[in-house]
Formats: sequence, C-alpha cells, structure tokens
Amino acid sequence: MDFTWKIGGEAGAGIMTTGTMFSRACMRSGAYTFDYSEYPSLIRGGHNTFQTRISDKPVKSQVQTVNLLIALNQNAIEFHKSELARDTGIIFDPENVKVDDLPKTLNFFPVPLTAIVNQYKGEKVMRNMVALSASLALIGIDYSILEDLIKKSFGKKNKDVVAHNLDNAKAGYQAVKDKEFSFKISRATKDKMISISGHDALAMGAVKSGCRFVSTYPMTPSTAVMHFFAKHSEKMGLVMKHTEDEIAGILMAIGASHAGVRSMAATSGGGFSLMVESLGLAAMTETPLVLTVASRPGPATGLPTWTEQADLRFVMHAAQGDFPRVVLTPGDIEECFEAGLQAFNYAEKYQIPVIILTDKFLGESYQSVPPFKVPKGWTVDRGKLVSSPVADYKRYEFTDDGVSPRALAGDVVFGAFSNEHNCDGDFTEDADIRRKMVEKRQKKNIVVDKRVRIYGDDEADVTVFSWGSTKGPVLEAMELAKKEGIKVKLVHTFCVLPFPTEDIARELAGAKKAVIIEGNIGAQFAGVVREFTGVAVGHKLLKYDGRPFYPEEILKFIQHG
Amino acid sequence: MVSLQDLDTTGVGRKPDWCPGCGNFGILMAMKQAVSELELDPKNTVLVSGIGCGPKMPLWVNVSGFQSLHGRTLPVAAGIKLANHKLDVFATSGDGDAYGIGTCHFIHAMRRNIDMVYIVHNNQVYGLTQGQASPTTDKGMHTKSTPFGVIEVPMRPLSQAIVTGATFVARGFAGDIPHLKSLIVEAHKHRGFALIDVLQPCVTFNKINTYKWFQDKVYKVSADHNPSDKMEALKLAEQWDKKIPLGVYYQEEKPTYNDELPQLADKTLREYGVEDVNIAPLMKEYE
Repeated sequence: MDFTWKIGGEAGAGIMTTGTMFSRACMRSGAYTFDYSEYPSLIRGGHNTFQTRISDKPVKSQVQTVNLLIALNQNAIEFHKSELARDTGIIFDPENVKVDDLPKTLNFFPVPLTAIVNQYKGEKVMRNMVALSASLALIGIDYSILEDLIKKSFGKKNKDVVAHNLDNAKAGYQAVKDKEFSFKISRATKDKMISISGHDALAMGAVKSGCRFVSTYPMTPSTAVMHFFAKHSEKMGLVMKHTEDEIAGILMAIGASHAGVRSMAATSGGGFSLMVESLGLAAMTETPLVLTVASRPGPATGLPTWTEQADLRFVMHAAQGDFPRVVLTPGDIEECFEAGLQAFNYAEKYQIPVIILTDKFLGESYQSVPPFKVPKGWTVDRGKLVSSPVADYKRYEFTDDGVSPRALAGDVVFGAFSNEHNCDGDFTEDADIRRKMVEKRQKKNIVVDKRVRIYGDDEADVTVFSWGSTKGPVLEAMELAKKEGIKVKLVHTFCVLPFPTEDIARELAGAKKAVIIEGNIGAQFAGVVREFTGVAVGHKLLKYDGRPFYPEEILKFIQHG
Repeated sequence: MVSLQDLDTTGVGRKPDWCPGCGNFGILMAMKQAVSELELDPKNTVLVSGIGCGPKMPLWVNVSGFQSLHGRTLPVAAGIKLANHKLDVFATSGDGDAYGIGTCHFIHAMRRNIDMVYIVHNNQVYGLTQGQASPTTDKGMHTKSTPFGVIEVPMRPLSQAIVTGATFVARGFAGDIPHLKSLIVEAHKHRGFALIDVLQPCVTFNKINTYKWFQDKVYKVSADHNPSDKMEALKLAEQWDKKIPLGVYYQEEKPTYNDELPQLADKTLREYGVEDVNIAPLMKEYE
C-alpha cells in the first residue's frame, strides 16, 4: 500500500482542514501517513494543495505521483495533470471543472459538489467536505470515522455547523458509494498514532522540558510555535507574548530566562536577522536561550511560504564576536520533538544560545507517529544553578569547564552586563581579564547526544551526507534504490554545531562514493564539512526552487548523478 | 531595611565614572534614596538598562542589575516581570536609548502596562558617543552631527506617553533630588507602567540646556492639578520653551498586563517550575 491523495483549490477554501481530516481518517483506519501542503503567501485566491501519502510502512516524505485527486477548480487539473498515474482517480464537479482533455485511462468521479452543498444548506466551503467524504468512500474508509472527526473538529462551533457538515459528508459518501476504485485502504498497524507537524512536535518537546515562555513575532513558516504556546497558555501555565518586533521577541525571552523561566523565541530567517544583535547579548551575559529558526527561501522576503535550507551558515555565524552555540538540525517529526526537549538542557547546562534550525517543509508537514515518549533516563538538567545566596558569589567565576555558577534574578544580588566583565560581572577593559573571559566562554565542552545518525547499508555503494529536513526524502529514496539493487547509506547530521568532526571524517573515509544533498545553492553544509574535515565532497545535489526534495529525484541523482 | 550605604557600590570598588557635575549623579542618589525609603529587598529589585551614560546606573546601585543593548532596555525588563512578577522591576535609559533607537519598544511597553518604573535620563544629546544630537535636542542646536543646526523638531516624550496609554507620566529634574526621589517612590507604588523623564544636564556636550537653563524654567505642578485629566496633562507635557513643569502629569488606574493573565493569578511563571510537565492531554488533539 503506497497511495497519494491530493486536494487542490483556491486558497481560503478550507483545503488545510479538509486535508488534515483525510489524513486523520486514514491514520485512524490503521495506515501510516505523511502530509505535505503548498500554499501561496495570501489569504484568499491563489492555489493551495494538500496531499497525504498513505502506506503500510512509516512514511517520511511525499512522492511525485498522485493516485486520487480532488480538483476543486480547473487549476487543480492544469497544475497537477503531470503528477497523475495511468489510473489515477479524479473527483471533480462537472459544473466548474472540465476533464475532456485528460487521458481516458483515468478514473473519473464526477460529483455535483455545488448542487449537494446547495441542497443541504451548506456554505460553499463545504464542497470540500463532500469531496473528502467521497474520497473516503472510494478507498473504503468507514463513514463513522469521518463522522467522529467532524464532531471533534467542529464540536466547539454551534450545532448547526456540525449538522450541516454531517449532511454534506453523508451526501458525498452516497454519491460514489457504488463506484469502483482499485485502491482500498488496509490496516497496517493497531497502535494508536498521532498525526502532527514538525513545529507542533518541537513546541510539544519544549513544553515537556519546562519551557513556559515564548515571545515572538509572527513569521511564516515559524508561526505554529507561537500558536501552540498561545493556545495552551492558560491551561498549561505558559505565557506567549506577541511582541512589537523580533528584536523585542528575543529580548523578552532573554529577560524571562534571566529570571529563571525556560524561554524561547521562534522566527524565520528575516526575523532572525533582527534578532542577531541580541543573540550576542545572550552569549555575552551567558543567559540560556533557545531559538527556533524556520527557514524559507531568501534573501529578503523571498518565497515566504516555501522551503529552503540556505540559513545554515547564517545561524552558525550570526552576531559579532566569537562565542559558542549549539545548532540542532532535526530531520523529521520525532527529531523535532527531541530537539525541543533537549535544547533547554543544553542551553541551561552550558549557559549558551541553542538554535533549532528547521524549515517550512519539516515544520509544516505532518506525519503519523506513535505518541511522543521522553527517552529513558531523560531528566531536566538546569546545570550549575545557585538557588540561595552564597558568600562571595561570582556570576562569572573562572572554572575548569568554563561554566560559572548561575543565579536567577530574585535569588542573589548580581549583575549581568553586555559589556565585557570580570568574574563579579563588573565592566572591565583589562587585557588579561578580557582574554580569560573569551577563553572561559569558548572552552565549554559542549556535549550533544547522537549528533550523527546513520541509516542503511554499511557496505553501501553510495553514502549520502545530509542534514535537517532532507533526511525524510533521502530515507525514502534509499527504499527506491534498494529495489534497483543500489545500496545506499545515509549519514544524517542532527547537530551541526558543535560539529561532529570525528563521525563525519570516519564516514567520509569509509565511503565508496560520498554525496551531499542539501537545499541551497551554496552547498553550505558541504563547505562546513570541508572546513572541519578537510574533505571536499565533489558529488552534490542542490535544490533551491522553493520545493522540498522528492525521493524520485534523489534516486535519479544516486543512479546517474 | 536597606540603607543608602548598603546600596552604595564604592565599598566593592565600583565608583561612577560620569563627568564631574553630571546630572546622572543626582538621578543615582534619588534612585538609592527611593529604594531605601521603599524598603525594597536588593536581591528582589532588578534594575535593567540599555547603553549610554545614564544606563551605566545598574553598575553603581547595589541591587540586581541587567544591562542590555542600546535601545533594548524595556523588552528585557518586561520579560523579567512576566517571568516573575514578584520582582520589583526598574528600567533606565538615556534619551537616545529610549526615544531614538528604542522608540518602538517604548510605545508598546506603554500600551502593555507592565508594572515597572522607567527612568529616562534625558540630557538631549548622545553623551557617550561625544555629543551628537538626540531625538530631544532642540531645533537649531549645533552639535558634532549637526554643525549647521538640528533640522527636526524635538520629540515630546511625555506627550507621546500620555496619548499612547502610559498610566503614570511624570517629569523630574536631576538638580532636585528630594523631588525626584519622591517621584520614583510614587512611580513604584503605582501599579502599571510608570515613566519618569528626568531633565539631566550634560555638562560636557550640552552647553545650552544647563543647570542654570533648567533652574530658570522649572516649577512644580500645582497641587490643584488633576492627574486623571488627560487634556490638562497634555498641556503640561507640551510646555518647554518658557516654563517646564515638574511632577506627575498623568496617572490612571488600569489592570496591569500580568493582571490580565489568569494563569499568573496564583503564582508566578517561574513558580510553575520545569519538572513533570504532563503533555499527554496535548497529544489528544492529534489523534
């Protein structure tokens, strides 16, 4: 079972809600799911899509071929006809969508969406519901699953909304109930799963680790983090402050952290640009701080709702001066949860900024995964915290490991200043103390667990080095390659700083053929690899059109690249 | 009870490095007197600043201090107060810090009404960078950055504060320490965002707005003034060239930002802690 459903229509037509419901219905029927959506940077009009891939194995990326398409308008046909298989099913309303030019081998399912909606007093947006219900009927999903989802999704609104949706859904289901379609869903797992996006998973990990404060300014594609904290603030004891700009966002998080609350700001590259000076403030005052930077194609406004991995060098080097930082580059939903969970421990233990670098593709794609569990043995680690006044307390005391005892505002009288300072925290311009302070900050021996994760064949023909969201499509491509008789290994980097030099060097040395796959034109990760290992990897697949990697194109590169 | 001596930092080798005669000395003294009179606990009192001459103040008051970046005082102070609203939070900036580079934060801090005292050392020049014109420099003044005279009209920060929603708006003078101290005490007692703009002569770079210049112009706001009258407050805030009123121009009672957050009604955000957070209910909606 490997099947892709896609819905395409006008932005603002409820595509996301419909897509999420389809995906959850499939998940509840026991399939593994992966959802990928595309939308333009506007509220109404434009073209939106949502696609769900369902499988009997865990799936980690979308694929190019669509097996069942809901075309809410003509554009959905025009834009996606190249993605159709020979026998793809198409659900459409003959009133507004013409399919005469399409190959006759396709399976056409005309459903009078508008007429049904009019008959059952629905709003125009409920055409989705009719079409969604029809797709579920075609692939053999029980109507009661949809009914339950509708009640859950719209239950908070008034009873009429639920009733109208149910009427429309039932009509859609009836419309195709007796039609033949080759694909039927089957149960692959009995386990309870959740379907969650990368950014929600990251926020969930952060909450679990005790992060209670997020201050930030909305910027696609990072905004889900802000919404998550806002939504759960009252019940969970969190505060989400939408600030006047990103500068205030990072600064409030620094203030809250100084006063003892685990804090985070979340933004995209543009907002991070504004935060850069304050990133240095966190470093200089050694205030623990976590930042989520969700990349999108730049420079400037770029492609606001699309994806790219071109901010790696930026987050590694941003801000004046030299100081240590952690840069985590999670590659899938589970690693997003893990990054959110671990980041605050690293930030507090080493009193440094920790940046979690995601992107639109990773942050906004949904995957069905088992409910998150905290790894065995994981605990909150707040590092060297001084909770009560100690005699002769020195906030920036020189220590063997470079980490000084940290007091929280309110517990001890102490100063934290953005100027260079001595052990007491007082300003200094003394050359000797300056040198020692720089060395103290730099020498922190930062240990991040499992910076490199290796998948696939040890005796591989090709070893792929990648980081961040490229992981999913590469893993899928490896499955395709196996069928072609090519053995592939993936060396996925979860943490770029501190750079896992030994692991990468060892894997490079052992690789028959090393290739780097990443989503930017400058081969930024390849440059970092060369900087730390001295090895220049010649084979590179780089993509920068705003679209994520597809397994098919990675396979092609592995075969012929 | 914290004495002036407890608050003094010269004993631990920290002595103000302002120019002799600088208006900042008066503000520092008034601040220490106010903290002492209010009987604040030094470790529970956080003084947050930006960058400039005046913003060095946290170095020289023996309370908890945080020095942010230029213009970036208020968001840090707000973060501290949101994380632990049991702390007594003071913020301090210069006029360039507060009304130039930090204007955006200034406006929004006032809208938010986070409970803190904001003391602005307004000397109408950029002192630390050698005397360029600031947002409050009078039109026509010659400085290193305006050798032919300032072209812009000066900002009227207190008018700005009154129309933006600050709930306590006052003006003090570094040359009148007892009065300034009483303003700081009142500002601290006020629940909400309290702005005190302090006229602070810069003896090195501002040869126009001198102690003498201010002494000839300042007067105390009349006891008859009704600080809840916004229009009357604005009239006071617009006085400058001939007479400059000192005192509380405007005050109103409003819920603070923290008051509006039900999750902070019984405990501070910090008191929620970091251990044993249960995320199981959050996962339900993804099923």
